[in-house]
Amino acid sequence: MTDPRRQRRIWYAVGGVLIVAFLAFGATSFKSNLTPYVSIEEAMRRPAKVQVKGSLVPHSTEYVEASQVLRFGLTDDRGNTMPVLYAGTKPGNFEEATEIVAVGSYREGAFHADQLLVKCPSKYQGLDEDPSRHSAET
Amino acid sequence: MYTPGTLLVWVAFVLGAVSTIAYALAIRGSAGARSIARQAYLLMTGAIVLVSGLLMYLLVTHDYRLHYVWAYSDNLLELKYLVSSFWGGQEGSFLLWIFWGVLLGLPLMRFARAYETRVMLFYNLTLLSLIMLLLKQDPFRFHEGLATGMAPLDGQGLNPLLQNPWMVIHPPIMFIGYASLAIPFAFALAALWMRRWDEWTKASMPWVLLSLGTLGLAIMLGGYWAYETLGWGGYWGWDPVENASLVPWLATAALTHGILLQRGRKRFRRTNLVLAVFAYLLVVYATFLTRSGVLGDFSVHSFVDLGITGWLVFNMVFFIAVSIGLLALRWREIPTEVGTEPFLSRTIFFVLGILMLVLTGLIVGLGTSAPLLSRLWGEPAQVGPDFYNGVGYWLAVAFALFLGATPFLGWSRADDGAGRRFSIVLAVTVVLLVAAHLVGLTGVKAHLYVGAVTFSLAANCWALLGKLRQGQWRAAGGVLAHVGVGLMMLAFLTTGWLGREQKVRLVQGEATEVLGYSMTFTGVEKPTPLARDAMVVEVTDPRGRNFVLKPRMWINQKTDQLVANPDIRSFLTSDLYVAPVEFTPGEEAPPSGRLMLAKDRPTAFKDWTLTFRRFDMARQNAVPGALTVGMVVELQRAGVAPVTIEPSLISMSDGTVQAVPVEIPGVPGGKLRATGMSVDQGLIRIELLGLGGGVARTAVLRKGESLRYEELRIRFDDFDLSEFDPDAGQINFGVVFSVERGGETVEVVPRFRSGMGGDAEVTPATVPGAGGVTLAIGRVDAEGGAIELQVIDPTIAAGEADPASLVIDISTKPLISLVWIGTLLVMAGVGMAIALRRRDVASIPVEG
Repeated sequence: MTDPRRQRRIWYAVGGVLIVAFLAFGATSFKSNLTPYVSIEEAMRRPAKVQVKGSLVPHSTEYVEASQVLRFGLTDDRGNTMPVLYAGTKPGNFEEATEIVAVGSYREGAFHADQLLVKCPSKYQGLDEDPSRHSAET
Repeated sequence: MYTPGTLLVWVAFVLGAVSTIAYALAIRGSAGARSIARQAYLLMTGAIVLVSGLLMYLLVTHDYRLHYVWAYSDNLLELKYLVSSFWGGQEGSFLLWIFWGVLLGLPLMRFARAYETRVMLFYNLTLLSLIMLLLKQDPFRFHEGLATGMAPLDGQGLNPLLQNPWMVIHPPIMFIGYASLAIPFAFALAALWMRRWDEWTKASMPWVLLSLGTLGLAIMLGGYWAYETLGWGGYWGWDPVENASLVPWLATAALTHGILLQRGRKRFRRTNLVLAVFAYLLVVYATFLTRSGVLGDFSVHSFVDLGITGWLVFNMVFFIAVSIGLLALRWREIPTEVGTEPFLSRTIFFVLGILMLVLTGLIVGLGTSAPLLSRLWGEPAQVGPDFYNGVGYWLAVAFALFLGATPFLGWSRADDGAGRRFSIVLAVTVVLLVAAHLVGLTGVKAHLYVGAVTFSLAANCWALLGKLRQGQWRAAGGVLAHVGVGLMMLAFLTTGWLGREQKVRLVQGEATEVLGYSMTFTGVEKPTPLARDAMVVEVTDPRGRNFVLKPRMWINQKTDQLVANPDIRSFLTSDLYVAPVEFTPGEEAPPSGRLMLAKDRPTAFKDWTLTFRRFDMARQNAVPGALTVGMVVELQRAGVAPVTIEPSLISMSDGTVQAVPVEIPGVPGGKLRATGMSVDQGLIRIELLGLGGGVARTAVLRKGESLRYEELRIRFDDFDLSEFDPDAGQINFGVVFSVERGGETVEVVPRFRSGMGGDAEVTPATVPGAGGVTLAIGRVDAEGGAIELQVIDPTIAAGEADPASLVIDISTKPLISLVWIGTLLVMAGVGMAIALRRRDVASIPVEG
């Protein structure tokens, strides 16, 4: 039998190395997975993976049968528009979204999104209109 | 503002402050102060309950003067969703949190025993910090700029995606969890203050377990809602709001195990104090992240900045300063002991398990904070699911191995006979892994993961059986929860990696093979105009079972936008998940002919005989707010049994009329539609579609010009203006055609009537003896003296209907039921643990 104290110290060393290695792995993974958040103009210039916020060009959504992708136009507040291709399942609240964040990269004339964040008006606060227009004498 | 409501919030705040101050005075031993503190607390509870009741009342009675009521509810909401609109917005959800907070404080006051004054002092502070937010952001405020006596007639309504039964119960359960996390926090601070290092863990254990159970359940309910409603096919998306509830849950799980360690080994006092403090600080931090709008661009849940960011930061800084300060002040006084356990002991494995939970929490917290952190060195950036899944994989494997090893270990050394049990469990694991491989598991990483998880499942199931056999079922909560965790972890892999997905276009009426299922889109179902359109898909699965799926796609009237909901068929081993992508309405077959039917007078059309029998008012209220009139029509055809069908007309309250066509049995694409009726005269006008025949030829003719159609020569002679009287509002004329057939000439006069607005009405005329060939008038060019002649021939082939089609996204979710079963097992385990630990509280002396 080895001395339990010594045995423990070895285990601690092994554990410590594993944890440090894991933290290093986590940190590099974190760094490499960071996707900066850019404007449409910049996304079209940069081939790297980025995310772009914008709103859906009304009635631009179409399903491209051959490649099984969803295609739509995304426009940002500076007035730039680009086509977006998305192969995943269309989120249920897609058309209703006040804002769409597309994560992916721009190549061959379109933005290939691998993730769409659809801002469901979880709250309708974004849509607030002037309530007095709906008013009536009570 | 709505004065009683706002006033009551202020009253609650003042009472809370009084209670806090009185508890502070009671620390010096003043029994009088303590009784004042308790009474003030009771009154504050009453005030908050009243405030909540009042807001609920205003929502249910549609008092749209309140901005909150207007913004989150409308007149059409069902009662249950009116109730849930209470927590549809920021203010209401804070109020719900406070509501649970004050209620939980009542039993806390009673069971905090020796810690009461200090615990209640800190607990009150956490409540005040929340009530303060309501003072800043008043749920009872009126619309800005509304004159007195004015109120909107209807509200904005609740987001349709939130109109789901799960979303009615998810937030209340979540906020029980958040509210109860303040309790171990208050206990830890009180323990630091009083230097009573051990009893606080016993007193707070039931609350910690309550948080663990409710937060866990709420997280999974949220996941279930997302799975069932949102249609992207998953239950977890690593969204900041989801993460914000996961991280405190991980901290709570770590704390639960830390308390068990302290109970078993009388050590790890520092760890537990830190964990209890951080579990709550994480909630405060998560509140800041999700409610201040700093993550607005990165989250699906767009909580908008309401101008409370400053207050949220203040809360965060205040609680961090107080708790970290107290910890630092007492750190050196906290007694520590060095253990002598070997590595292979439950103690060390608990420590490592806690470490893993904390690491996982750190990773998730780091990822969630990425938009804030990355601002330190550049443009704001975010990490996606790849980061969490990639890093989480290794954590999960290690975690499963620890989870599986723990049952073999005693607190200070491996159990007797553990070696034999371990070998058996290992053998079972290998057998299961080989089975999984044979079923089709591929990839080294997947094997490693499944191996680790089945090991933990096998070990914990064995331990569970062992406990039950020894009659220790009261103490089996922990193992049961671990079995649940194992099942969930297994399902994370199968649903994420092994699911299959395909998009396909289904043409109405045509069966399509996809992923082994045969699917037929049969049409759109909309029982009432207010109902959400359901796409009816008939499915035959590989084993020959038939069922119907109804994914929905509908226009939200409030926002005029398309919303889609998936439909799911659950089987024991897998779910079939169908999300609608796109719907293309088809075109009906062209009309074959139009007929006027008089009551009980058989009328022939091609080889059919149609008889109108009666009007049917039985379903006149089938559509709310409209009148539905059915028309019973008998159809006969040589050699076939006669059928009765009932088209109907719906007169909407806005004056429009909707025709509901009925399919003609036995004729694909054949339909009969009523286009008009006269109840007094017992007449109906119908249109037959897809029976063959139709417009064979059209031509624009001037007076004197002719058209040849087969053996007919049709000449436009003149207008018949005998009934034309524009002054009387009658634009009513006939067109006289002379039709020559085999040397014989007849006069045929279809009529054209243009009403006051609305569509022109054409009464076609049949050419006698020409096999049913009918002449009608299309457009009329009065100035040019030209008309468009339509020759309708019943013998031409039926025009093709262009069928509707539906694009759906079909996916299978293998073993997803294990996620929900696992959740239930964890809940049951936590519940059993609460029952077990409740009695510990009584062993603590009462204060004073």
